[in-house]
Amino acid sequence: MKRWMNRISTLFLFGFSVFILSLSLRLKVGSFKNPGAGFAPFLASLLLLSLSGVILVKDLLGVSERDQKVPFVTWKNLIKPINLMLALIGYGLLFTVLGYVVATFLLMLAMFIIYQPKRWGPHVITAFIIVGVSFLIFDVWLRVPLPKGIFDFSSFIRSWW
Amino acid sequence: MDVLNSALYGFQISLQPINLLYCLIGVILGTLTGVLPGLGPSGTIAILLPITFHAPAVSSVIMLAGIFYGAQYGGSITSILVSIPGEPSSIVTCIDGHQMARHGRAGPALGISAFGSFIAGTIGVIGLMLVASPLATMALKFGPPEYFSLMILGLIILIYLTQKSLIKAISMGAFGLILSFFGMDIVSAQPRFAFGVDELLDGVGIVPIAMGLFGVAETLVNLEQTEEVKLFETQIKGLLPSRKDWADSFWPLIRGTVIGFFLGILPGGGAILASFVSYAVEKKVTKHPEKFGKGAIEGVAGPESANNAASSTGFIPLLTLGIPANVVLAMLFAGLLIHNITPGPLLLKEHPDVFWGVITSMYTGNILLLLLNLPLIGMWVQITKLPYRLLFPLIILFCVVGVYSIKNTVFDVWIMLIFGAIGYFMKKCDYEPAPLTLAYVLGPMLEQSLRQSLIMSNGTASIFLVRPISLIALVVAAFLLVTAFTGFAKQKRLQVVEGEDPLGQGMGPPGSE
Repeated sequence: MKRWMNRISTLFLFGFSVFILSLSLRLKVGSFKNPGAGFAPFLASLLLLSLSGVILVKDLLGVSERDQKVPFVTWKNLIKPINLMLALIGYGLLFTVLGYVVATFLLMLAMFIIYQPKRWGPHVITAFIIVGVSFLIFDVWLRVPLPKGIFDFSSFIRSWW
Repeated sequence: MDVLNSALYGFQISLQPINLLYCLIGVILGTLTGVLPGLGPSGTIAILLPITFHAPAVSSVIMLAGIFYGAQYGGSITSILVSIPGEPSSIVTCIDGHQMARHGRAGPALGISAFGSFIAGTIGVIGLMLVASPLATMALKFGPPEYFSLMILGLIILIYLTQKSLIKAISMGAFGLILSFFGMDIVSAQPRFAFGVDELLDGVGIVPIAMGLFGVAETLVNLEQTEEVKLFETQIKGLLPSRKDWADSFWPLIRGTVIGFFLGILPGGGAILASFVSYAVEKKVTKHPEKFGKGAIEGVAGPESANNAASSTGFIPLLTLGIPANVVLAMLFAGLLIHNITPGPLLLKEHPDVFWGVITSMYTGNILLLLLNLPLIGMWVQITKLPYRLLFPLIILFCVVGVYSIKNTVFDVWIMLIFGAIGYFMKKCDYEPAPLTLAYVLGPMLEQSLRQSLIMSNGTASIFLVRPISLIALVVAAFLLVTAFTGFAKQKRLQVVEGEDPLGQGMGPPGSE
């Protein structure tokens, strides 16, 4: 699994460098006498392209590095990180729609459940407390304009506070 | 202004109640960061950067600096008691510190660690005061070629000290450089890689990147562990080291301070390298090397002094040249920029309050840390028991709100999540985030100095080789790169960064911060 992950991550860097290289060529690369906007990105992407190319070739030729000794994560261990990422993506989508209070409450609850799926009662209470306290700190005290969303609990809490 | 007058001026600023309060908050958060696993000073500073918008510039930087050196203190507590280094620079403290704890000597180990840190940190600050001002004056004479070469040297040293693949570390550096070029071109103001997205005209942003790489990605990695770490239960009594302990620790402490002082100044060097070198030196000079690894107090006093001295002198390249020596200082660099303060040779002239205020705050910070670390040790031990199921949601929450509050846009939250995912997978594949972050911070300056140098020299790259300082920096950088890739030196490099043979303990690799 590690080898495949390694290839994917290196391919990502390779593709990214090709993409930036082509874009920097479209910008003005200029010359050594008069370097243009694309000059530095061109050099940096060329470096990244070469290095990721070397890593890919080494990998394909089986010239493995020391990293093969390190045990990679198993599918079982990946469940929590993947669930957290999904919860965060959902949070990103709902953040402005539902507003800070509701979206963050759901995120907190999701995170507690990801870690310990069987304690719903304490999770709800803890999530509620954390959201309340964080709202008071950031919105009321530090005046960070957090999104209100369709429920607009913020105005209610503010008026109550 | 001579140094004494400058120091008095600095104390006038740093001893103002508001700044004392921020210093106290900083060192408490720093110790907390060191004590809590899964949250390094880079992540903490990244999380707190947006909050400092509302605070005065001097106070903010004093607090952020406090987090940095406070984390060195806190990191030793978990190293000694649990054998889990809170900070990479405390890895070597685990070896003898934890053995001391296992033999019922946790108190003296924590005591000498705190006193050693205090003494070395204070000496480091005195050195910082003496060196910083003349160096800043000298740096005014530096031109773009010198800056370019020094920044390249800083990046290469960081890459040299990387724990895993060198090629991958350089790749991450290149990746970071490319990301730093997003936004407006510094010369023509032409949009680069903005793809029609207005938010990208300002660049990707260091805070979302750092929070993604150090906050979210670190949390994802830690979530893989299915079991909570069990703490080693021990009685902590007699925190004051005995007369014999002091006698055994005196020279290690002095040597550690000297090593930390000089290695801290190196761009790219810093506390991690200093602690490893100090341990190796102590093991070499002792008459009883067999005691090392079994609870030798010298193995605690030396490295702990070294990492604290280095964390003080690490500010020298940042404040005088504008070159952050490591990732944490790169975050501090970003913090200064947020307040429209550009670190560098002009800082002393343009913002003497920040320059001297921050330096002198480290004296008070070190005293506060000593007071926090000795009498309150019981409280810190209790905090190490905070369950991760409560800690990680709070880290994520601070990341989200922190990153959102910068521009009040969800776009930055998405950037953070993307870099969280990238950071996680890169980490799993041995790509380290530190070179990326440092390269991102240095990128705009590096590009500017490169283009200015080339324009100055009419397109001749030899400008970097005809100026002495630039030449020396490039020769050292090239030497490090060549040796890092070649046989014997490659093995030695790995020994240094992993602490294998020089320490004889087969310790795990240090982190990248």
